[in-house]
Amino acid sequence: MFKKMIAAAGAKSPWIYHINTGSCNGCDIELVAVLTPRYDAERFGFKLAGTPRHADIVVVSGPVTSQSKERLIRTLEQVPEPKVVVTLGSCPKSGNVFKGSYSIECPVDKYTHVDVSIAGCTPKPEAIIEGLYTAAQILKEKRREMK
Amino acid sequence: MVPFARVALSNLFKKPSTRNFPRENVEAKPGYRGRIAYYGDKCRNCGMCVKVCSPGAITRTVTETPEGKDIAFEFDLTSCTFCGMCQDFCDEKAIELTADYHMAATDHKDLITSGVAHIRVPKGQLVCGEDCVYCTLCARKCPEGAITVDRTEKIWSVDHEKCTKCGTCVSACPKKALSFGE
Repeated sequence: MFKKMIAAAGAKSPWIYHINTGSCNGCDIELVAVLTPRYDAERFGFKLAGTPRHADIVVVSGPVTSQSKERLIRTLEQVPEPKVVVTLGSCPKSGNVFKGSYSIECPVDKYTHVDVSIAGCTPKPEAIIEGLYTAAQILKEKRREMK
Repeated sequence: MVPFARVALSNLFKKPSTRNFPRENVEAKPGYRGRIAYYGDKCRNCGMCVKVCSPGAITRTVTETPEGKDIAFEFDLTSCTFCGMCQDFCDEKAIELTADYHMAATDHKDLITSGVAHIRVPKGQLVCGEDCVYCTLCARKCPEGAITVDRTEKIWSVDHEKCTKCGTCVSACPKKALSFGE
């Protein structure tokens, strides 16, 4: 019975974990801005989790530098299934202007399956809310399949 | 105590500062650079957009047709910096960065703007008529750097191997001295 209650509560409150893999901080600021009262993504139940072990949705920003690659893989492994990976901005998908650099090991698709990608440099907060909302829908479906 | 109470009371009856986003659509501010729109009918394939794109988000695929060339343009929005250089450098206004910011997608194909330009390549080579005033505008506008103009010696010359016959110089010429013919 408790398991059912936890599942029902968890479905309405997907927790976000944010990894910065060498981002310029633009996307990171916008993601945090989304959680402020102005945009208030917490209306939908989103909440920043302190550790990947508590997270349902992983938001990756930055072009995956070779220093952060190991950490990215390790962090993604710690997130319990079902997890949804969201890429924030252009960098994690293609490397953006850093493309071709010796220290960039993008895209993120090489290391994990990306469910939602939010384009923009940086994306508008409304676009991030939209992306997180679709991620929450995907998470719901994944949970249903796991049952 | 009194000033604080006044602020507290006024805040109590104020509307919340939260934007009710999904219910009320929020328009982007004027000048916002969002999803790229490409108008193939205006494009003349000068290639300036591809050159100025710093992340290399624009790809061109050329297919030869009986009438000329079909050029398929693809703008990868997951690679774009939205700097707007391609829009600024496009003389024909064939590229526009619209105010559409809804760019969250599960499928990569939704984040690609594509379009085809049907180009009719002129048969003749570029020539300069007698009206030329050696203003060097054509040389400055040429995306390939094929034209050289010497103002003091009054010499106009074109490198036919570099020239792609895009016609940027023809429309830039204030004297209408340039043409494809002969």
